Amino acid sequence: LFHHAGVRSAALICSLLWLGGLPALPTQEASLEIADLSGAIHHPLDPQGKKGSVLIFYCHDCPICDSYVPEINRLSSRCTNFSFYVVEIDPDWTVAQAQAHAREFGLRPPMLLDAGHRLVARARATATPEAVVFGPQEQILYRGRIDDAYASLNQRRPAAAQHDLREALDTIAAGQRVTNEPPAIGCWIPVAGSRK
Amino acid sequence: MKRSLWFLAAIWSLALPGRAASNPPAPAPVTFNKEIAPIIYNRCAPCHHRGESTPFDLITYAQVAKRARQIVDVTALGYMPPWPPQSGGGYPALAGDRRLSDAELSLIRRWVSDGAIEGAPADLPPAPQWSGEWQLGPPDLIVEMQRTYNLPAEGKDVYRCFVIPSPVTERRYVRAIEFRPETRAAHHVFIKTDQTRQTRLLDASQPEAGFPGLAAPSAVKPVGQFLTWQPGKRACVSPAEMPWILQPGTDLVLEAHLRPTGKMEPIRFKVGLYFTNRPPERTAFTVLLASLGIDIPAGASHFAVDSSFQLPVGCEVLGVLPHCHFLGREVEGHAELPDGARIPLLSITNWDFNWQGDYRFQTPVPLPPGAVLHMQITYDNSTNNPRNPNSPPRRVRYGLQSTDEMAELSFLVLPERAEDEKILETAYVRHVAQTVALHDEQEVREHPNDAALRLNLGNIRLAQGRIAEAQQEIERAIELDPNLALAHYYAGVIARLQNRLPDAERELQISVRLNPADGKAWGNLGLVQIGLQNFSAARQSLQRALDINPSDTIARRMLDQLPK
Repeated sequence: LFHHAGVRSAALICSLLWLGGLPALPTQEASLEIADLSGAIHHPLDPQGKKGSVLIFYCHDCPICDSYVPEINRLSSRCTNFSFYVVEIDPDWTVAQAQAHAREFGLRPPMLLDAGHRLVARARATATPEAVVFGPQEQILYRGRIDDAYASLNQRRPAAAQHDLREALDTIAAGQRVTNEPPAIGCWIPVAGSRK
Repeated sequence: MKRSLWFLAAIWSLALPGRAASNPPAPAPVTFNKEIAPIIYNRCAPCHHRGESTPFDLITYAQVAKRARQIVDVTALGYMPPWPPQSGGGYPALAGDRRLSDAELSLIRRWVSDGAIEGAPADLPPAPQWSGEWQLGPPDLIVEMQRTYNLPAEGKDVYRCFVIPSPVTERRYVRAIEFRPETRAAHHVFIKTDQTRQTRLLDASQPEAGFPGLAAPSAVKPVGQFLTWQPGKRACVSPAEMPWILQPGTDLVLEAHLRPTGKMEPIRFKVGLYFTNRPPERTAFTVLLASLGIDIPAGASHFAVDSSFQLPVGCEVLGVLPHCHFLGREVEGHAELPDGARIPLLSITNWDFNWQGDYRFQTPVPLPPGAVLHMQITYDNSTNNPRNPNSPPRRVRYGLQSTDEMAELSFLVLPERAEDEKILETAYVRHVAQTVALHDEQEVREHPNDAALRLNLGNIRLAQGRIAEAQQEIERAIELDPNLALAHYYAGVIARLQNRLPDAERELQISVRLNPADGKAWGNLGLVQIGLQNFSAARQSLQRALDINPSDTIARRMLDQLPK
């Protein structure tokens, strides 16, 4: 009897899955287009001739993100062979609020509001501040922390000793594969629409 | 995964309704409105609401659900709510305990794994309201830093002392004090007072507000009070019969730990004072157990120091204040009774310099005469300690800088009988002098030609009443460094004690020439000159003392009594 019921429910689930439709397959559509806070259009997944495109996933109320602004600015002005974008992940955050926050902290790379989490999904980003680097074929070359300044949420080192993103960019620029991708420490990115 | 199991269960019951009845009903899912909101309102929202220095609000379902996974993580880690001491397990209950119970932690976990459901609107209790920026309502007096300090956007943490002069013109009794950081950069603040004006002069000598360091040399805790702040701290309310006295001319000194936030932060702290007309009936006494002999080898992962003090009289312990720096790992305090019984008082197993403060017991802990207070602090000076300020680790010794270490556990005690206060004080002063003297002797043995160390030892010998030995050390200090103003000051004080007034006058003259800002040296010089019947010189010296510190009551009284 038990065995029977198991088969039945398995069959039921399968049919429900079919009803729900097939998972979307990747298509060769044009690179994702998104406007920054000033309205300028960017293709953040397409390095457009540069070595790669660096997306820093960011949330305005994550204090760890805020504390990284000077380092993000430094990296973006140092690594000019990469495009840098700061991706705000809070769906409730407005352009005006984001402008004010970016101005207050002096954030320099363009900020993109990712309310629909299209970039989050494409980069498979899970936390802020997570850095994801895309190559010319929109392939992911690095996903991880910026550096090791935080050993855990409540353990901040006196100074970062490992500059993982900076090293990853040097490795990518040298045409090599990045093998070390330590996870970012910060705030989880909420899964859109899952909380009702 | 969890959700698909639920789903299977649902299908099971649909397929076989007859059997489902014999199974125990599945527990109702945890909802925000029913189980979670009360926890959030009590434990999170008191800090996570508009106007506080927290990064976001946690009150509504939307605010909480958005951060559900983060909340599970930070609560499981014990990072939030920030509350380092152990609760339960024989430890006395602490006032303002914010720690989540195991049941609360488990509810939060279940809520999120059940899908972070909002629940029925009828279940939602009314949200708490906060009336304004001050927890205790409008203060009787609000004081504020007069200059702004601009904290850089990034870099190492900053330790800086700020001075706020208090404008009171008559003695006031302070029943409560509340600190408002007005910035997210403040991580912890100790509030002290200074009547000597020395801190104010130090502050004025700097181009920006405040001066660097963790400790202002002449600032002290108000007698019998711990006044500390860290994010989430409630106002410091003294027991009704134990307000503290704020004398006119007193400066408030804020020893602050500031953490860069990513943007330049203007620092302009505010303090609210709440007065009472009721003078203190009793004053608590601070027993500070400290170890000055800290010497932690590089790489040592488990290095412990301890200290103890026997209470000569029966006391109630009102609260505790632990302090060490970044290598600290565990702090433990207990009392051992004459019959051998052990009364646990404080245990912090994961010390975090960033979340330090004082803890008050909900009910004072009574201890009989002869009970021994103990403290033990354990350090991790290995690379496994991410907070280690030295990479690679190096030998770390006692010192006030954050890269040095300290080992302190203060107990706020109240003798059972007011007449026992003097006995306690005498025994304690003897204990402190012994502790310090042992340390200073060791230092002088290691560096026999260091004038400042000789001066320290001489100073403590003077406090121990061992005058001849004090004189010997001070004279040696002057030989080693004839320009040490304080050495001449103590030489003068010793000569005065020995009634060698001309010697005293000569030494104090040298002292004020080397450091004209030392009001106490001018005051002592004035007293010596009175003894020498040189009243016009005495008048000038006492006036200098008063110019430097208008609240020097001895100088004022002597000046008033001088023959015209």
